[in-house]
Amino acid sequence: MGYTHYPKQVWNLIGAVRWPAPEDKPNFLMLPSFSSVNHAKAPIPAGASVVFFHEAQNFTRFTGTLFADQPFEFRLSFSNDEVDDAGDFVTDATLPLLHFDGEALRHAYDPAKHAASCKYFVSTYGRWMRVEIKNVGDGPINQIRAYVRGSVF
Amino acid sequence: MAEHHDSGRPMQGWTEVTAEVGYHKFDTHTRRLSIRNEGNGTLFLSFDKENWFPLASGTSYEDPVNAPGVWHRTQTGRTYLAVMGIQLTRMHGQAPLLAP
Repeated sequence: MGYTHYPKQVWNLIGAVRWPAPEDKPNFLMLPSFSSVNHAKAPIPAGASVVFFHEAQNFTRFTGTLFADQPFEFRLSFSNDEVDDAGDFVTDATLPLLHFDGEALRHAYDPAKHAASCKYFVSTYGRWMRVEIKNVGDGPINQIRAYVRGSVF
Repeated sequence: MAEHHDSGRPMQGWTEVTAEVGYHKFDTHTRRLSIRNEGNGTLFLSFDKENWFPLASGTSYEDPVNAPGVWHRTQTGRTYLAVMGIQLTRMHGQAPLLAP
């Protein structure tokens, strides 16, 4: 009886941008469906970004892999704001309005240099996290797989 | 009505937790309880909806606590609460344990 207190977990996918999006199906046993963390809703036009936010406090570092058919800029930024500008504690609604002053990574993914640009490793720098994928290519991103996984120790 | 004797049966649960306060009701009172945060957000728990304690991702709360259920919420986003309890009382009509 009793769970181990070894701080590791199976479900460590903070977020993903995967397009074309796979069909929404149940995950293995009780794990959440992949669609619940996939932020891709359509091909990403040239110059456009996909942005998502997450609490970063539980994680010591973040890792992941990248692939796309166009070059894109991958940015991870952190905020240490405990409250918003009005002094209220942070909620889902105000999380995007925080000051993400700590840019931890600005990574250039280039499909022509896939092996050199397809992975990253970042330490945590704050309580909240902002992830941005910006299409810097000439055409839309029609295929992309970008993952953010967190490690709790 | 539950028969009031120590059943010792496992009582499992898995609940999605959001920023809305929710309640995970156990089948019966517990005699031992483990709660693990299997998600990616900080889990806040309470046994009275007034006093809360946090549980970080990948960590567990475990105690021989007698409780009918637990209140839960996150500050932002969602996480997942896994429960392994031991039933204190056997539910009425619950058959004796048999091998499958």
